Amino acid sequence: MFKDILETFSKANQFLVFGFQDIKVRYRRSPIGAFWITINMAISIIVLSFVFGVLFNTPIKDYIPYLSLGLILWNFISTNINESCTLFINAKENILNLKMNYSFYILRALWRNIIIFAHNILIIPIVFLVFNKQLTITALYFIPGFILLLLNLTWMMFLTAIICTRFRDVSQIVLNIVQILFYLTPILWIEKSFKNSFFNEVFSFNPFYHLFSITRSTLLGQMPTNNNWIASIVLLIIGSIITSLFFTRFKHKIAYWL
Amino acid sequence: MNPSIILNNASVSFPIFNVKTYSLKNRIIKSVMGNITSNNHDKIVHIDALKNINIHIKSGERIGVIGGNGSGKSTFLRLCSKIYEPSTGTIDIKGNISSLINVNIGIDPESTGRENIKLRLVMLGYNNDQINELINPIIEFTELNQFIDLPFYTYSTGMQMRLAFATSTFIKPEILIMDEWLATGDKDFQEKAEKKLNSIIEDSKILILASHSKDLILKTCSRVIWLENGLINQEGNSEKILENYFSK
Repeated sequence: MFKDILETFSKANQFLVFGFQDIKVRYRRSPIGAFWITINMAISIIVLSFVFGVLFNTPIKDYIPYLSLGLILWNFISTNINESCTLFINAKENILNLKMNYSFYILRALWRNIIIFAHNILIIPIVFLVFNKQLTITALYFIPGFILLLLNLTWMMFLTAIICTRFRDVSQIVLNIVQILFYLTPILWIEKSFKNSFFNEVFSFNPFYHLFSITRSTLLGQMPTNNNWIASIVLLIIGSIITSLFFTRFKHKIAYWL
Repeated sequence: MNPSIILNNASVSFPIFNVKTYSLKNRIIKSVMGNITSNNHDKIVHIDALKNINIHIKSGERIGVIGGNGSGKSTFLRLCSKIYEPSTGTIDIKGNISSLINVNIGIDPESTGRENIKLRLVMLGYNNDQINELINPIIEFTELNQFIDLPFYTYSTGMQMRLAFATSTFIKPEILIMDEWLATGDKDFQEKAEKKLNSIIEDSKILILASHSKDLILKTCSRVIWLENGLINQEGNSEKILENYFSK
């Protein structure tokens, strides 16, 4: 798997160009183009912060920046994982007619979603300005945090793509898991609400809780704990090893399953 | 190092997943319920697209592949393009391969001709410098002139073919794999395309060409493989095999 990814990186222009092309195709003939992404996201944020801000009775000044970052990140993560279910299946024509590394399809999707993420993140400076929130020095930790998130997503997508090509109804299971994780991860609600309860133990088993701590929290000025970093790194190592074994075992089968 | 392709007892057999076996749910039910539900018809059926193919293709050979529909020609081409790994047996390929099986991969109908040339070249693995170098000769070859900056979907079928052809044939592979003769278009273009194809074939060390045309294979290939139901029915000198095939 690592070799496959390195080879894809040696021809990085391939997945970069085609990831970009995907966005172009999607928003062609629309005057504001890809900024529809930003608008859609802004609307969800406004509606959700209104509903949940009132529901949880939290000060809106802290809640909206928290929710905006959470939603944008979650949108990025969930789209990547959900799309990976059908990556190889949708690329059938391509796979059966032109020999390319499988990681091309993964990195192309990841890159496409990074571009979308970049559009969405434009909302954040506005939110921070409006609510007079400042970035602190801990925001620098966002960079290693985000890289760790990307690496973790890579193996998750690879693994999902392989399994879903063989067992078509796993896609439904994946969609379900992603949906459930959305509720189990502190995105809409705030961690503090469950302080000193056994829920805190439960969170530590949710990988996305840690991945959120090393990304979103840094931008909000909270330092991730050592446990957050360790959990994310351990997740990466174990996940990559499992996926790599899977890929080595099944890479010759993928074309047969299509 | 001379390019070569050696197939040793290579088979390609596709698992046919009926709806039952595609699904994880049924897998689990089966493993829980054990013998109660597992009948023979639950087993995955395999279709042998190619069976125990033994062949040694040496540098300099021009191979024609013939056979009826479903005889395994396309699978054979894909096997030689490394798209399928043999399910049993081995394949050993030396040399870089270009396969012109489907020349439309990577084309986006909404993009202009020029953009499509770039996209397609990127797909084929060229870097930016090579693309900048190639793009003008390719545009010139297509003779699309002012149309090159119009969206691909506005082209006539012939023009679309020209673009795909031109973009795919600016290559210098050691092993060239082709499904049917590509040259199309009006009479003038066809002649030009023919010349182009012949020149890449001449430059390549190995050609594998699947076709239904007797004349074409007779003209281009020195050796013919006749596939029938996934097996090599006959194989050898072009004239002899073609005569057997077309007189059957």
